[in-house]
Amino acid sequence: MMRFYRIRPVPVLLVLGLLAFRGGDDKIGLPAPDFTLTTLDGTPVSLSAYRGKVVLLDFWASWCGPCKEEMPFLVTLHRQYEREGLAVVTINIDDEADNARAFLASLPGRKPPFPVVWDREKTLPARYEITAMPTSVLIDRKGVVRYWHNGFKAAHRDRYRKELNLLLHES
Amino acid sequence: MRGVMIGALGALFLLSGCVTVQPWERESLADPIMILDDNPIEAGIREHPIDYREGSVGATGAQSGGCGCG
Repeated sequence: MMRFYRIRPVPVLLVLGLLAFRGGDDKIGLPAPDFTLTTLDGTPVSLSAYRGKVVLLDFWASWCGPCKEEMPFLVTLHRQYEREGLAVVTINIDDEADNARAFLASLPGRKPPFPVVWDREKTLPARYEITAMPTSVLIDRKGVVRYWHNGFKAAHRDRYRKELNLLLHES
Repeated sequence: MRGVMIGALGALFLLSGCVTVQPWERESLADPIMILDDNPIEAGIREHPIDYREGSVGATGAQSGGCGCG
């Protein structure tokens, strides 16, 4: 006799939901898409120029709450690991550049010591298919995406350091 | 029957305006003015812990919902 199984909607939806929100895991091991954009000051920046360095690529906006918490931490990471070969590159996606400038001016300490690219057209977050704001992508010296952080949680600070240590010291 | 047809067509017309807002497109939605309340900033502050407690971040309005980060 044939047995009929009732489809349980909750587990099915959970599985589908998890599949839909892999959030960057499928990009790990792939080359990071290259770009050339200009910073808030008008200086052109290309990702390929950082080949040979470990790059922390961060997407942020002035309207994003956790970004306020994350930005000073990025400055700390930059200061701590710059000599070992880390390059922090941040991508701002505000509609108005002045909002980004006001955000940076409100930070404790001086303005960030790393390039702040302004992607008004928001083409880069679409190409990277980010699923959260902020998103941090850790790219190794060969230009390959190695780690992916959706959002920013203060409790994950040590994880960033652990991953950077691994990437900076691999040959 | 005709009423149902008109209703269905109306629903189709309205639903065609639905899009998925990507995390990088939420600048305007993240503004406190998007909260339907006399005092949107206060409402945002009030709703923020409720969102977290209920596991429903982003369900009601701006503040926590705007950035899609939880």
